[in-house]
Amino acid sequence: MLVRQYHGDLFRYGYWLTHDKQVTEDLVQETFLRAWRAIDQLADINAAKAWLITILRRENARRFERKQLSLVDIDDCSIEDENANIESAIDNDMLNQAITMLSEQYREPLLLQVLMGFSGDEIAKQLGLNKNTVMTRLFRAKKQLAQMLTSDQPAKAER
Amino acid sequence: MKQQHHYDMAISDPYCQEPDFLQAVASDTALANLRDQQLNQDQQLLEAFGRAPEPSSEHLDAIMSISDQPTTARKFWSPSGYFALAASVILSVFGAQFMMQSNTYNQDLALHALSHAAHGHSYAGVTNTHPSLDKLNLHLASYNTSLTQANDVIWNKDCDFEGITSAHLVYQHQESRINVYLVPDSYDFKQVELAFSNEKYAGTIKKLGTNYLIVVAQKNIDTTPFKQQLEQQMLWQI
Repeated sequence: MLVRQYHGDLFRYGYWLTHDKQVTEDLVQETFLRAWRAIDQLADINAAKAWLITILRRENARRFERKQLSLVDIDDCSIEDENANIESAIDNDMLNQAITMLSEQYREPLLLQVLMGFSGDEIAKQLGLNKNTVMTRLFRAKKQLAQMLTSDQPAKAER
Repeated sequence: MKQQHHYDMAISDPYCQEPDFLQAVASDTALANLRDQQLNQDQQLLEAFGRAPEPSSEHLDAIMSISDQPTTARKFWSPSGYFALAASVILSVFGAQFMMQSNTYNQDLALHALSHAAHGHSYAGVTNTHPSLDKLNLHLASYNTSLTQANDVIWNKDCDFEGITSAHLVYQHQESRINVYLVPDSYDFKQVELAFSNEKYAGTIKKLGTNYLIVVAQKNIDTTPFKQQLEQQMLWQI
């Protein structure tokens, strides 16, 4: 039931966090695996969605921890043009581009509200912020999006 | 100050159901327009978020095989242990069913209705499209029903209950919106709960004519008088 009900939303949420299908698949798979192993921690079935998002966010954070700790050969690194990457990945879709250009601190509350249907209080709890901060971030995120969409070319979003 | 707060709220949380905000929206056309405009932008966002790529079949297979993994050791004689056992069984049984039935229809009507309400509520009925009674009845003819009046209907469209084309009507009921679905009974839904809910929405299913009539609204709304009125307004052709 958890898989059937939440897999789609979790996958989309993961994708918009990572912008990478393969990473999202790994993330979602790891999330359900951890959820399965710790299913006895889920005291209330109505809280399943928030619980799964918490696991997914924690897994995503771990990904960065691992990334920082691993050492790579400098010769294996290519210099990437961030803007070119964004443009090729999103097929010049203005809205997708605008979303991608939002900083994570603005994009994540937006995902939780619009995609996951969470209230301000629920987002605050999920992100460990107070509700006013969440509301301010949502306000700025939406203002920035509107601004980027009305200009000819999305400007670099405020960080 | 308060007015500015409402204007900010219309952007940051246009779904806000606080009486204060709803009252301000009802009495201030500019605020109502701003809220509607934001709901439209949010709907575009929701569609953009939905444009994520499809997961691979390997990924779906891997998700299905998760229930084969060992879970943590637990004491099944404690209340949480019994819950865990039940949840584990649900996760594995329904998880497998989800994968095996991905090409068929969803067997749980209530879950589908909740999902539609959660994802459709932000855009369905955002704008009052003032559908005429004639237009509505033309739409409803394929569901073997018609309405005697449509004053409170603000939006209507067909929607898809995993392959089953169904009617979706949004009613304005006092300060709230109520979702009404007509799902043809030609499919044998294995699970039809008469009353259902999740953390945000509550609904009921009633078999009427050749359809399931599903009414879903936010949890704090008493839909009983609405449903009585709706049933009086619906004429079924058996």
